[in-house]
Amino acid sequence: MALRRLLQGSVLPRVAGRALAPAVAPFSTESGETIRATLFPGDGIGPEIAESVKQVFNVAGVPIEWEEHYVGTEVDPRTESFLTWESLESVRRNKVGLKGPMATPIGKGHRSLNLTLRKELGLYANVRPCNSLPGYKTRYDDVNLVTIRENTEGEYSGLEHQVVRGVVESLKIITRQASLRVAEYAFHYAKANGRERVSAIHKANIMRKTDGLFLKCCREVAEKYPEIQYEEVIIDNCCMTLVKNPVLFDVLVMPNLYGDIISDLCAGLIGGLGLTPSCNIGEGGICLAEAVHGSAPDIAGKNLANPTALMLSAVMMLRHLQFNDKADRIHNAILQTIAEGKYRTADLGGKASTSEFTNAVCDHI
Amino acid sequence: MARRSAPLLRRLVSASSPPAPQPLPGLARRTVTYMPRPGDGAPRAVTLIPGDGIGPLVTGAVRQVMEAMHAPVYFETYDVHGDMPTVPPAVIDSIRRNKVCIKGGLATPVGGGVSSLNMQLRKELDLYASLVHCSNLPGLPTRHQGVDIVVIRENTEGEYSGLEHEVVPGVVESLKVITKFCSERIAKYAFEYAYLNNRKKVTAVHKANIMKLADGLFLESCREVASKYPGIQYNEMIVDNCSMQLVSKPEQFDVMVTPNLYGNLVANTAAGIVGGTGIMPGGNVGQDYAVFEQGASAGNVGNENIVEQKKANPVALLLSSAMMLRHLQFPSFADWLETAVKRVVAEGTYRTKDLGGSSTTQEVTDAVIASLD
Repeated sequence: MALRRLLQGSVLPRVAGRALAPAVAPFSTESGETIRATLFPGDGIGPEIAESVKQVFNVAGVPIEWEEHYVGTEVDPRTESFLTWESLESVRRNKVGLKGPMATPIGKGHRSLNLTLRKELGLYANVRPCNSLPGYKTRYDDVNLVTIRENTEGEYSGLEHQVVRGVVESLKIITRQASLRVAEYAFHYAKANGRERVSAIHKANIMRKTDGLFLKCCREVAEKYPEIQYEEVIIDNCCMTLVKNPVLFDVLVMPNLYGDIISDLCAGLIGGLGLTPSCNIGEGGICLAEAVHGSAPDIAGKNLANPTALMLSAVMMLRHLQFNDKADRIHNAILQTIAEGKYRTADLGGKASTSEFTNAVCDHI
Repeated sequence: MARRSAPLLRRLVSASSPPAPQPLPGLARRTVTYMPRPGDGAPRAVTLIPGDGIGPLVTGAVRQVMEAMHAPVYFETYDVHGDMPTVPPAVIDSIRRNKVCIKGGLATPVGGGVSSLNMQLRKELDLYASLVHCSNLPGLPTRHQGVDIVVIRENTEGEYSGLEHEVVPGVVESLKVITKFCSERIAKYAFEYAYLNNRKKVTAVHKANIMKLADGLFLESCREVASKYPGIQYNEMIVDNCSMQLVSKPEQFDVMVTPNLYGNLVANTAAGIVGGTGIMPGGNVGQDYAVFEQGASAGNVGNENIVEQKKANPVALLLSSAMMLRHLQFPSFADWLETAVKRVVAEGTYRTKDLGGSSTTQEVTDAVIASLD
């Protein structure tokens, strides 16, 4: 049984050689058949908020059948981590997934969970739309931007060594293939979602060859999409503009490190990681939506958690599957619930419980 | 500029100046007297590099204000532009001689073959610490209040080593170098700064969960130095969490010490939340030399519109020149200048476009000069 599964694994089409896997999922939305999606509830508050999402999807009548997988308690030697081979196969097969917060176990002899997912599924782009939630006031209103971050290489290649005592080198790698891939996705996303402008963020005045290559790839892709404006912004100016006037940005595409920092900065602008949806795009059209906040073990099981981030990520997953009207309805329901202010969880300054909030969202659908 | 006797001329000027404006609360002049040594009033030479873009405008403002104050400095001006291949040796010699320099921004061409002249200057003179002081100016409304952050950034190594090469076509590598020597000295500078300025907390910004060896070495050096200053709180924060905290709760930060690239991002973010490039002072300092310039590096060259309309904001460089006066040990002049600049910003009549007004550089400069009492 395991052997057959292993063979199946090697026969699955690997599209590593192609520069782009179309992000449009090959699903038929008219046929009405249910779509299978993998669900990783995760740890801590994960299971509760996953239940919320399932409840909302039921009420909205979304034709999705969930395959739940949990992080194991032992290291699976086939994946060198606590995620089993079956879980990963499930995502590869279904092509869509939703992931809750996972606490990385401490220790050696295994890879981190996020690293495992990223490498095994070839997740190359991390997409975070950051929109100010109407009704939840932060210091910044009218934030409406999307950050797209290259997720596989750059400064996070993990290649470091000590040259001599007291001198350490760390390698930053930029390749044409990865840069083209993420740039293609960024422009495709912009076109598919009606966005007008893509800004490439870089530091090519100092790192001339590496960020220079990234920019070259972005320019090449920009030429193929003449209807979308393209600009290049140095990261210093980007940070300054983001904190002074974030309304000036639309879609941002960035290499790994800048992407990490800028996407968290943008999450801070709209109210933190508890409200930010996120989605990872992988080779072969895989879309793994995830909640980027922590597992909050201190409030786990107490019905206090805020399911907004996971719900909004699930909406992103629906849009990827092209269930646009259902996605819009759920999205509006969430926004309305938060805007009304009657049912808000503790982290937003309210007193509602997870189930009260979820019921309110269902009522609004 | 001929050497003049500062006290005599000051008396002459003050006799004919208009009545002093009312001091705003909280901007009272220093009342503690200090005792200079005989001869401290002799004018000092300072190298001045106007630079590119808005550089000449804002350095011109500094020059005018210094003349109006009859400050005991005179400037040796050198022309350096961003598209020169290297910084001319005459300029370097002048800075070595004078020990202090004030400059406007130098444009760095993107993706071209010329390496950044700003970086060259820093490496040549070993200006290993870059300092930006980001604090709310009284009277200027911003989204965040109560912010007072000093970002101290390692200036010579890290990601800006400039060591890149193409491995095979389509694959490029860039080396980030961290050494114990540089990490230690920047940590020492940060803690020393905190100690000398009565600061309570130093935060080290890093990404050691991913770059374990490189940023790990940086953190190790910081921890070692922290143990020698038990009176100063020390904590560490990952850079992405740090940027999120900066835009939501910046009041928690005091002094921040960072390696090169993160320092760039953190300094620009921190400067942005309290008003932007136009008003944040800063400088670069090493063992022997100090170069003062606008604190934030974003937009310090400006764009053609601002240059044409002459609407650059001189406040940043004026505050940096006040830092320079303190560095040259003229504290009264420094306080005098800072008070005047802050008064102009607080009053709000003369503000450039980035602060929501529409004045030109010259109008702001004249307002500062009029505000000197």
